[in-house]
Amino acid sequence: MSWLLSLVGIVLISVLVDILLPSGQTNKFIKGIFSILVVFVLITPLIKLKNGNFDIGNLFSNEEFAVDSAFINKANERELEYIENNIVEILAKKDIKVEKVVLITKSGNINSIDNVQVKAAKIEQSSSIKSIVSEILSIDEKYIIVYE
Amino acid sequence: MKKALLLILSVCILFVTCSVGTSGFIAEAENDKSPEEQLMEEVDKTISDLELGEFEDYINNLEIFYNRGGIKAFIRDLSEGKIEMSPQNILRLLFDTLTSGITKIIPSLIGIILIAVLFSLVFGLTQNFIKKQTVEIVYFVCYTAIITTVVAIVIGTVKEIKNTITALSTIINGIYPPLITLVTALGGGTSQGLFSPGLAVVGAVTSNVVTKVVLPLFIASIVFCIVGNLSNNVKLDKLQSATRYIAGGIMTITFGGLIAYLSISGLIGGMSDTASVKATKYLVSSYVPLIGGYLSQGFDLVRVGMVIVKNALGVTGIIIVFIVILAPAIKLLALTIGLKLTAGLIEPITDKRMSGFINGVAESTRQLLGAVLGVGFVFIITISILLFTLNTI
Repeated sequence: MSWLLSLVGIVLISVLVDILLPSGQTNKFIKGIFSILVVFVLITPLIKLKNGNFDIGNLFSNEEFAVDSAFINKANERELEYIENNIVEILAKKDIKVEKVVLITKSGNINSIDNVQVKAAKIEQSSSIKSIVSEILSIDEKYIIVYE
Repeated sequence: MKKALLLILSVCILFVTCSVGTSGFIAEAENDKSPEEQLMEEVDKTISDLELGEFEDYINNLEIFYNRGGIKAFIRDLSEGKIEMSPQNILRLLFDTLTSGITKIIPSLIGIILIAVLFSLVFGLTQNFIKKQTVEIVYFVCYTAIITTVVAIVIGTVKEIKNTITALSTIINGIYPPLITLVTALGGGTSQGLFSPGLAVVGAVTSNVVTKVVLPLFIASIVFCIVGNLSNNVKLDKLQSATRYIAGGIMTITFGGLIAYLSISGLIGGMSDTASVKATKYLVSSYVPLIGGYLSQGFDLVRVGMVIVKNALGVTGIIIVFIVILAPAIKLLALTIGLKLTAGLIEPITDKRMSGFINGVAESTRQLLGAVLGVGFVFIITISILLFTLNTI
């Protein structure tokens, strides 16, 4: 802003001088001096820029956007709940009654199942339950726990 | 002007082609509710769980959302296809804003024309019996009156642009986190890792470049235009042109670089995450195909619901950005057209410095229009990249 004001001031003075002075060699000489002054004022910011500390990093932000973990956990819980209910329904279709299925996961989503706990009505159906659940979820039977 | 039209056309094409729907598959349900009802229930749950924070309070004050019960209700209606956006309504809105913008500046432009006509009359009647210096003083007085009028319009415009850019930054910083959250919840770990730092940079850099670089260069070019047309001895036309060129170059590099970076991030993240999501789905449904398809219903319902909400939120974000930049962009366009017409009208009747000054200001405001449209375009493109990430599951 100060640079712009300096420029405007120099030019205004130059215009006034041009109006007030009679035409002649003196007038041309003074106009020439004011032209040099204008050029000097114009290049002043470039000199300051070279000597100053301009850091382009000031334009950037170091922040990152935070993910809403609570929402992701709720969404994962709903996914697991649906899958657990569907496993119960699939087993019911095969005449295997189970009260509930609980998927225990490492990080709360279907990609990292730790083990599966099945509360069966009849413990005798344990091997069938393990076999079916193992095929559905593509996990080893040793990770499936059936209890009554 | 051509670039501005191209930008507007691209935004319109995005509106027409972008879809709120998804190509996810839902197996047939075996309970009482239809798949559509279950899906809409899932969409409702997802919208309710979505945390929008202060952004929600800010946006709910906009008329379009206030009349519909808030932004969450708007997203719900958009998900159900209840929002209609006809091309006629959009064009009518553009035309109404343009005519209102032109109407507001007409009194000032008429004032400028009258001053120019007055100077022309005074000069024409007295040129044979007054000194050249007196003519210069008369010109100086008329020129000052014109500068005062034009600068008043320009200052108002600059303030509006600054407020618009600040509002856009607030909106973008409010809409990116829920979009990133939805992408992450859909399994977009790679995308989230690439986008999170990139999007923060987009918001900060675009607003900083415009407010700290482009606007000061615009003000400088206006000052050069004023000063350069004050006297025949000091000519600053080339310097004004150089200032505009520098501002244009900085905007092109910044906006182009940001869009290129985010597009590449979107491609890399999208390819990697789509493959991992498909692999997970295959694992879950790799049992006997019939039952596997049934089992993947739970997996699909939640994910399809999140995709629909993600798309609806993305479209809402695009609509918000469009609404926020529309008024200032159209006002700038109206101002540019008005000043160009005025310069053309007064050129035959007055000193060439007066018409040169008004034409110079018009050229500078045209560049400012490019900056505003560029910022809006960058934000719309970044929202679109998130919108199209992990759409096919």
